[in-house]
Amino acid sequence: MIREVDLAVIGAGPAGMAAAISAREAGLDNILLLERAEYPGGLLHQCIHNGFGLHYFKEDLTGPEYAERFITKLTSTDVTLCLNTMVTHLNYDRTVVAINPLWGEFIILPKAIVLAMGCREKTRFSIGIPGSRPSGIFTAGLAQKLVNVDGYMPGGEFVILGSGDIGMIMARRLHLEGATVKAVVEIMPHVGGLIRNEVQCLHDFDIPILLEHTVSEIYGNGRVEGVKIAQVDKYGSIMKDTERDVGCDCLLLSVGLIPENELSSEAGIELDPQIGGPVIDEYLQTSIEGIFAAGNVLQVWDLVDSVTVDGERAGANAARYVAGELEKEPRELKVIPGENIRTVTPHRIVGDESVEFALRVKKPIENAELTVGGYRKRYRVMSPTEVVKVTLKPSDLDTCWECGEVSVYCSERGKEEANE
Amino acid sequence: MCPLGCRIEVQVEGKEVKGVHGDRCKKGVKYAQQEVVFPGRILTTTVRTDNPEMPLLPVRSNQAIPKEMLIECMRHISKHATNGPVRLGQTVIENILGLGADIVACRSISLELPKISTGA
Repeated sequence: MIREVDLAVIGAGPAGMAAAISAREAGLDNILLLERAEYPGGLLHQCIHNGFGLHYFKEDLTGPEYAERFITKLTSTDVTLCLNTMVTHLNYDRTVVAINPLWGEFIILPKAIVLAMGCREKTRFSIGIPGSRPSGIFTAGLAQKLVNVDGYMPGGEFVILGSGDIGMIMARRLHLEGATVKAVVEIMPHVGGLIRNEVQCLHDFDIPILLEHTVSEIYGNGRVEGVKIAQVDKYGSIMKDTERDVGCDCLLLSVGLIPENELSSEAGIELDPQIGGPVIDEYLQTSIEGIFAAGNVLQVWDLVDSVTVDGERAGANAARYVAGELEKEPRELKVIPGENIRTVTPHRIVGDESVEFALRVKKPIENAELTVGGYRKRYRVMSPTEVVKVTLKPSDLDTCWECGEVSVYCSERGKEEANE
Repeated sequence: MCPLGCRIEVQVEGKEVKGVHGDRCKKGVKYAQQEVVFPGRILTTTVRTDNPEMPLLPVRSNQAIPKEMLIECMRHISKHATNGPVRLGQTVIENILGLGADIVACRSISLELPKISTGA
């Protein structure tokens, strides 16, 4: 079976739902929203904590509440929602192959595509912790699903490696459910997630956080019996003499997320090796014309509110593309990350409209000044755990077009002023 | 630290808030005062349901609960279960432990949703 549609959106999490809704509102008639799970909403259903929607709705919502607002909106439109539907192939010519129980295998020929596959967790093997291979080692997100959706406790005494948001949120959740969290272990000198989670998840319940420490070994016969925790030096190497045993029956890993881009790679979409997501222009268009990307598939965002906004932009731009309003200009401006910039999107600028930049710094910095082309903004504090968003007027980039580059950097204000 | 991410300094004399600095909005000022005088948290957890396809219902308190009462509330909530369909926002436990906060549902159970819409 072949289905010709205006737009195919892959993934019905927060980015995909927002993309489908905004594309519909922008006038696209025939939209397929493809989701492999039984229910739309993606990861939001297992994120039962609050803190969602503070920016987008100006309300403090839980994940399921945030999801239900979009599900209700989505089901009131005529967007075709295909659940239990797995996309198996994405080709460079924009054909999509998918499979579901009702239609079997089918081919979709869309005029435009929005990639919204989200991200997945790194595992023990991504970071290579030595030791035996007992049961009781979980990624934090999987443990979150077990506890919050399926109703199982994965263990009784926990060590959590990594202080990403999911790790800290799970520390609180497990503590509230009666488990003991022996420690949250973080290799960096600062926590990996949002500060509010450090306060409300760890400090509130006196859960110890060990900065500049890591798990150097896992041991246990059949089941995790404990881990070795050691301090690391300034290069991140384990200091053997600081190693000590901590007994536990469960180790959770919250060691980072990777944008989910198997389909993008198959299609030959250019990926940013640093971020792991597609290289995009300011319209969120990838290196293949008519294929857009939004949300965590692009870069791992700190807040779902930003993912929603990203999805809305991708959906609206896909609609403009289909209407022929997104004619590609023959010019291009390369975005070059400079001092203290870990990641920045978009990677290139092709149009003459205002541009939204999203970036993360490498190291925490106080009294910072951010420079993007001819635009400058001061920040009291910038932290690598937060995505900073700035919107530039076309005139801010005027001077950059001559050299074809716009450099982005972030420096300490006092230092620069002293130099002047 | 306000939930929006601003670092706020609060000057306190005894139990009285004398000054708030570093806020970027009115919500921040209110939060900072609250955090010093009455540190409360929204409690989010789950209750059991009778629906085999969705064994747990996510719930929350509709107001902040004093920090030291959170574990007590968890014990109380664990004794509850829901029966049948649930609407988003429906009260599951009224005025939990007399603290003035209700425990309410964070999603609907049996929300009408086609398994696959063919769109034809």
